[in-house]
Amino acid sequence: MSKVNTTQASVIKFNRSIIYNIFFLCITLSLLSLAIYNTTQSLYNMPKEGIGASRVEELRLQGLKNELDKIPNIKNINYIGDRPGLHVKDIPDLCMEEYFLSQFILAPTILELGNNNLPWAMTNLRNPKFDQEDMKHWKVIKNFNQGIILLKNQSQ
Amino acid sequence: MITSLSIISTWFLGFVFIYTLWPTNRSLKHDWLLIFSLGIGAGLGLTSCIFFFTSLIFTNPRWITLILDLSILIICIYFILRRRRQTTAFNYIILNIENITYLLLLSTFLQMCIVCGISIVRYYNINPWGDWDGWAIWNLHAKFILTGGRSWASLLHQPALEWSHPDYPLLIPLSVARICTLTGELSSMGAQLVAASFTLGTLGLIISTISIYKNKLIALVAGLILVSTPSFIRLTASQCADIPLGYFILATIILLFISNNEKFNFNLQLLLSLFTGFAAWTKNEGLLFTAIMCLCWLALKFLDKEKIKTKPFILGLILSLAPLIVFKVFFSAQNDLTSSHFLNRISSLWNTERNKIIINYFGIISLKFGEWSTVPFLLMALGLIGTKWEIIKKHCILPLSITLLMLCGYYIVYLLTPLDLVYHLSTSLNRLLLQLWPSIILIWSLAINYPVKTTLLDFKVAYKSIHLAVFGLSILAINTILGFILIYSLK
Repeated sequence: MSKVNTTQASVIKFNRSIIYNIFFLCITLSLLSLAIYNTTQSLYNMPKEGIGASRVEELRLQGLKNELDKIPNIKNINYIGDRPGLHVKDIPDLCMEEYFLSQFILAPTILELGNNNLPWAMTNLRNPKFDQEDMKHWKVIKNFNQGIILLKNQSQ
Repeated sequence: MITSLSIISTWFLGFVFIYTLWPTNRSLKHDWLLIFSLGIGAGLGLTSCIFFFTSLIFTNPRWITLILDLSILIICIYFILRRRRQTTAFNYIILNIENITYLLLLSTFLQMCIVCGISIVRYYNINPWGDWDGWAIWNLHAKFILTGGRSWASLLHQPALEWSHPDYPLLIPLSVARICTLTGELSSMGAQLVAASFTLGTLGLIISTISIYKNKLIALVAGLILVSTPSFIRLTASQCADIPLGYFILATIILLFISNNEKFNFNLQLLLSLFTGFAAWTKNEGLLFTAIMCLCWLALKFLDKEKIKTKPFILGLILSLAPLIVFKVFFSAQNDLTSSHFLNRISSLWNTERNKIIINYFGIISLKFGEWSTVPFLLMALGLIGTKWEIIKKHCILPLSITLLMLCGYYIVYLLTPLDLVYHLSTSLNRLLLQLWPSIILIWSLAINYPVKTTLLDFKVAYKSIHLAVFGLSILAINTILGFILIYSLK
């Protein structure tokens, strides 16, 4: 009698294990399908070609960087960029991002904002309507086009 | 080419270092992938600590760095040759239905890795220096270390650079700068390879640990979940430090798990504390992790004095935290979260409005987490049905406690933040959760009760064969579809 009960219990346990294993199999396969679907989606969502902001800025500032490398003992320079809020149509207001990017490209030269006591300055102006007031202390040394100009302090 | 060689040699150094300290009673046949995956963290962690001091002392630290790295390698090889290790013969894979299923699943996994690799390489071509955090913090610091001479630390702490978080730990920037110093040129490839190595390392850690302690099939499913998490791949491409920190958190949890399941081993506990320190050397959140690990270590020591010893843990922490302490004490600027009056902000802990906002954001971001098109959490939760308490108690309680304590820590940091709370939550919570995601996948994989052992021997063989055959055929179908996707995406 007890042997029959043991066998019955084993069969019930076995059936449960089959159900659980099949259930887990379904979950695993669903997870796999989901994983593949997501990877495909993210592959399509990720940009395939183009040129990123840091690369664009690297190319724009290459000439200035080469020029700064020639000047001995240059550590800090004044940075004159577009002012927030002065943006015009079709030009996004990216003045702070451009400043940070310029700092990244020109490192280890440190770019200071609004320090007119420094001997050198640079401009990074995409906006044609820049504030002329910012430029009055400075003499143009070299224009690299696209709004990039190397300047020297007139008072020094 | 030289950049690749430089990262491979760093990985090799880490591998040899881990192998030297790896318990001799453990089989290399089972543990090789785990040792290999721990190698990248150990290699980059050790070399960044050395490079930190050499770059502060020497104007051109290239040769001295190389000599010191080689010295460590020679010492490790000497110890490897001296010690006797268990040798195990290599077993050929027998082509039974279980192994065929495994190979098919492995093929799916590798194809997914290729697809993700293509995405990352494409992204690197567009943004060679990564996204905002990549270039504005980590790679900017690397550039200063590389080009600023011996005074790079003081340059980095000028007021004009406050926005770049000069107080952030330096494992990533130093690793990038070291690779560029060794190769002799400033190239974005170094930064890209460092980021990709940590992603590969994280995948290796997950798969190897679950293969050893659970099941090879579940290990690959876990790997697939991680590799198909879109934000995991996006942040690798962005060159943020969240993936490396996630790697170090996972590695430390795994080492704690192994040392808790073994007899006391000095080397294993030394490695555990070294990796804890490296987490703090990677990102400020790692400091919170280090504090939690110290708490866990104290609790474990209280529970089992035989297994947990003070010496190796303290020694490892001192070694790995030494550069961080020097950096924070002598060079670092104040952190933006601790700069304003801390005591005044204690009252924020009881602020109902702030608590509500944070809970709300935790809910929203958790549901959107990972940038999945369809979130897998329900399926993962269903997989936990039938999990036994003994399994959780044996395998999961420790990693789960650490992960939950980290979440509590993040919660308190948000309560006390001096920054605009909504801005802070919306810009960082997703990344913070991603740091814990590999550890959560590990816990999930260790918790599930699969395969359930069958008791009737007569039915067992036939049942197992049918079960695996269905599984294998399904994966074969998935493989075929994936193959088409791969071919299409390569075009």
